[in-house]
Amino acid sequence: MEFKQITITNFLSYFGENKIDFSPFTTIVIGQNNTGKSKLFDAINFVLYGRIYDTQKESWITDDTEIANLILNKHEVNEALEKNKTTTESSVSIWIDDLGMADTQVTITRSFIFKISNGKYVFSSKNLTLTETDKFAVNSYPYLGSDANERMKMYFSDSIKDFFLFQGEAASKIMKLQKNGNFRMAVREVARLEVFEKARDYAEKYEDTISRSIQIKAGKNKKVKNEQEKLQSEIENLIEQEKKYQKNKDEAETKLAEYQEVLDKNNDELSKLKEFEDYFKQKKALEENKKNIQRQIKEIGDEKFAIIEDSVFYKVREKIASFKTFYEKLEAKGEVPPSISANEIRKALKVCQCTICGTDLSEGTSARNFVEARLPKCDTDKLGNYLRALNYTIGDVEDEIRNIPSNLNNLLERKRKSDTRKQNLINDEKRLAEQLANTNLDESASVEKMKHIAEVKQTVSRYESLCKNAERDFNSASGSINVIENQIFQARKQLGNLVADDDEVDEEDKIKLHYASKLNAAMKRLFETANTTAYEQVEQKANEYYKEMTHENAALVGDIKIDLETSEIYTVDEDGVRIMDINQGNRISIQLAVIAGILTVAQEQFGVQYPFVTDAPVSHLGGDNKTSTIQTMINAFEQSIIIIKDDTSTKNKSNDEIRKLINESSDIEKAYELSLSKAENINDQFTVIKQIKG
Amino acid sequence: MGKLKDDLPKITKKVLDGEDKITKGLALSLLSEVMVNHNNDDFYPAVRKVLDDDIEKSISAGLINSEDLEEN
Repeated sequence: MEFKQITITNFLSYFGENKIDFSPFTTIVIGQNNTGKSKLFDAINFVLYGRIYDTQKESWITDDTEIANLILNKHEVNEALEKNKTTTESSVSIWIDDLGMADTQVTITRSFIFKISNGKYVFSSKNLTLTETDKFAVNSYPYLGSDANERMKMYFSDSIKDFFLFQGEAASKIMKLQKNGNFRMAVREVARLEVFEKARDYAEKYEDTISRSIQIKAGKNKKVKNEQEKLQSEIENLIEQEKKYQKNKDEAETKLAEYQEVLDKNNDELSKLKEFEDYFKQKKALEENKKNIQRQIKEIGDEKFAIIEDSVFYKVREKIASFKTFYEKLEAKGEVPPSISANEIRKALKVCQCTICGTDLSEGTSARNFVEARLPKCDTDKLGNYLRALNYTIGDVEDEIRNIPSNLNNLLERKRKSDTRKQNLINDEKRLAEQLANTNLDESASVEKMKHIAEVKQTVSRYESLCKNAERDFNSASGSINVIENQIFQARKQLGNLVADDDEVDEEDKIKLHYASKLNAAMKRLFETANTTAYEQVEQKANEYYKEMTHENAALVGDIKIDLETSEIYTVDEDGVRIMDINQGNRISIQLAVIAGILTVAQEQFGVQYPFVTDAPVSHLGGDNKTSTIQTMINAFEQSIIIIKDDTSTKNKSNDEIRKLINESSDIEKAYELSLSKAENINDQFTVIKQIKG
Repeated sequence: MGKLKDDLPKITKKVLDGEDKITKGLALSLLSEVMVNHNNDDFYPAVRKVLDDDIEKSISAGLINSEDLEEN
């Protein structure tokens, strides 16, 4: 199946007639918020399935009146009123090729007609037309109304619509494996499980009918009858018990699905908030780093000061040495005043004998002449004491100074290291500052946001616990059901034996019961095998796609596991252990691989490959993750129409990774950019489509 | 999708291969009845009739009798 062209007329944000041609391979549509991206996705859903998506309620609207209230383009309303038109309409038309019928193209048009009433356009009627056209003879076969609806059902599977029309935001919902969940319904349809299920139920009913009819005949024998009644009653009781446990099981499964949905929603939110949380962690780390840098810079400053101080002393070393030489010369000459007081010397001269060593100082002796020559003419005691003290101090200072060169080397080494560290820290600071600038997160109300993160984490924890409880109840009920089913099987077997032993039952009855029982067992086995094989097939195909992605992307590891027991889809490592740490980008890749798996199995069963149309869930992914996810979609699906949010409002468009991918990828044959027309009144704005490639 | 309306999924043959001819015939009759009545709500009476007829025809044709049951 190939979507060739869509024509959107006065539908939601699209005013007048708008045509988009699709590539047989990949078409990309980009646009900023509220330019008509999701409205394009709505247009495809509207024409094929008569539904549009309510982003507020996160659910599909299928009610005609509700849809009619929303879809008529506002600008068209204003123009039609100005032109006094009595009717106007919203419509979407799609041209499709290769629907599995050779040489036939199909055009489907769904339109809602509005009539004027009291100055307003009111929903009046709707039309669906499906026209099959012979490509060569150009003969048209139009179908209208219920005929068109029947043809639509034939061409477009209901169960896999959410898979080939992939609404990114609703991804986790369609991946639910719970009973009656979208995923199981899709597999059920593509593997024709409803046929096997119905056949299984009728085979069981057939055996019961035959068995009962024989029991009635056999009831003539009282003993057998009593035994039969007892067994029958036992079987009925067991069936009642089984129903009770089945009810418990269904309730637990429903609860599990509800809890899981809340959990997934909160986990998704947490995943989105994680960027914000990381941003603040990073910011906090940066601020701490800044403080650290400032403290270290101060330490480096202090060290420099010490070095300068020591250097100053180092410079005065020569002067100190010069002072010591001067002092030693004075001392050698005997010019340094003695430590003996002048009065003591005079007293010695008077008694002509040194009072300390007893040297003769008589008149005319050389000793007396020496002492007299040096007898100070002033009081030199203070000066002598000062010079001696100075000399001792200088001696100490000299010892200290001797150590300065090695200290100085150490200090210089420390200074070098500090300078390097300082430079590294400054570089870190710059890098972090750039990262912060690039994240472009709104920092306002950060306290509330952090509080919200804590609340979401609490909710996640609470729902994880609720899920575990519901899972325990589910497993407990499943276990009880298995036990009861076995008891029922045994009781039926006994009942069958009783009948077979009874002479009242004729040959034909015995044969019928025998084969009814065999048929029942065979149909049970057929259903179980078909059921298991269907999931295995999807899992196998999903893994084939996942391997291709793994080959391209080292971050994707493991094998995809579709686990019906836990109702979850996840990846396991080579030892079969579940991989827990999966980021948002990888989760999308797993979902895409599973979708590709389902669509491939559907192709094998239906003989038709569905195009893949997505309102892509890539807006919140980082640059590389975003482009690799888009590339994954391009590779996995034969025809893909990918609608993506344009993030270039503040950036240079030529550097935008998506535009780069569009320009460089030969797989992307067509690309469009959506924008809004300029108008003073917001109601007058409408989507403008610009083709940027192809 | 039209293809499925006529064909049974491949798995059917694989699973029924292990069954005896009579059971296999009954299974195929049952499946085709289910597929034909795909859009009807309850068609058990039709199913029962088809299965009863199949067994009776096999008995009439001498393909099965009660002595064979133990072997089957």
